[in-house]
Amino acid sequence: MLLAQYMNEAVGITGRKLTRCGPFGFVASVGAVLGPVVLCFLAGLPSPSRAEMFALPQPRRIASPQPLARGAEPPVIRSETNGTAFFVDESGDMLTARHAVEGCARVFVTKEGRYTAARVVALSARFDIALIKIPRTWGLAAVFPHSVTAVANDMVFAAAYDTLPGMIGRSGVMANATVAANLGGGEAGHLAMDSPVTFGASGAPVLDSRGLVEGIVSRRTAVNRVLAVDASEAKAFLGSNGIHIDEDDRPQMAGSGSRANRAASISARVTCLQN
Amino acid sequence: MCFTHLTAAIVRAVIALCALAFLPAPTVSLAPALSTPAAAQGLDYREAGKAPPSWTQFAKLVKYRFETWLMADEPVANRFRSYIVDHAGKEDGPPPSIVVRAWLNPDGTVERVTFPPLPDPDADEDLRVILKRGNVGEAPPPEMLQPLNLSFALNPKK
Repeated sequence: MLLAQYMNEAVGITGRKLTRCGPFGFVASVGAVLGPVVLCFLAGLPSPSRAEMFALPQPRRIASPQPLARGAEPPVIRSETNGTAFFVDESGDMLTARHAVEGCARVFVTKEGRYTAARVVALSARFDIALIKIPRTWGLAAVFPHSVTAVANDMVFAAAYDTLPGMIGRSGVMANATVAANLGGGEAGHLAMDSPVTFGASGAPVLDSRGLVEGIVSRRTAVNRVLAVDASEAKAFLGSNGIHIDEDDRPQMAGSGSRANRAASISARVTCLQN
Repeated sequence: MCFTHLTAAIVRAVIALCALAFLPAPTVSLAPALSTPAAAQGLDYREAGKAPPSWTQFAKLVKYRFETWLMADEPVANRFRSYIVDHAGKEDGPPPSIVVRAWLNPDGTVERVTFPPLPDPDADEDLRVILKRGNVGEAPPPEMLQPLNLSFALNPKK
């Protein structure tokens, strides 16, 4: 009995509720089940008194429906990922991993307390590399070898930009990875390394003993096995996008110099914000 | 000539800087320590084009750091840029360019800088403080001749 009465009240009031709470089609259907008080609570309006609830509907002017759609708002950022990018010329062009900047709503570059928005210029169709640009080069531009000379067991350096300050603080690091015996790990255009690099290293430069870029960190394929896109492929990609790079086979730093410091001089953190 | 123009957001000044260390010869110089520019043309003098790439890379890095420190938004750098803007072209103003000689420590800090005195002693001291304020981020190549001779063209724009 009480349930039936309540249901009658609810259904009987719902029609009136629509005139008081506005044209909330979705909320009204919920209100038919939950009752008018809940209905208006959801709509954010005052609840009717019991007398109002049981009063017969009175003719009244119904306000014109208000649009439910909100105005344009900035899209909500749902995820943020960090990678590494490095400068390839004096004009702010940077190379990074394609997966570090692909599909991003916005891309930012951060270095030594400064940050700026970056523009994604080109994504490689074949390899996991991308070209991005900021207004100005912060630090040094990388130098590439005329031809890739890395051979198995060569000591190289690669690290995420965010890990470099710790390495520099410990008086630098000369090498932290070795070129694997099967150079490309079975994949053409790649350089395989035994390296401990982890999150945030995507897009980091692989520096050889001369401070030259031998590759760009792409992905991990086994516990300590990391694949890097070969510098030859990176140079072809940059060339096809009109980027002029420095090439030299001579050492770009002292033999005793820290590759971690040089990596810090040429690279930066790249942040991808996704909706 | 090579002038790198930098915008100072605070005072809207542009100071053009040009590092001799990587200009085309013969203006490029990596001079031996404690030598005058003229004396630097002697036995140990190296033009940038003939210097090892590791030296020129390091000189580029020092130039970048000096630029960054000069354009920093902090009181001393702001004051120095204001001096450049306010006094450029005047009798008590800065010269169009100055050559800074810099010695760097093995840890990348700037040990010493020398340059012809500016007309304003306070600006002179400000420039010295600015150029010695930090670490360039890398150690100089051990065999590199010092000091580095860097030419700064002071080119304000209001």
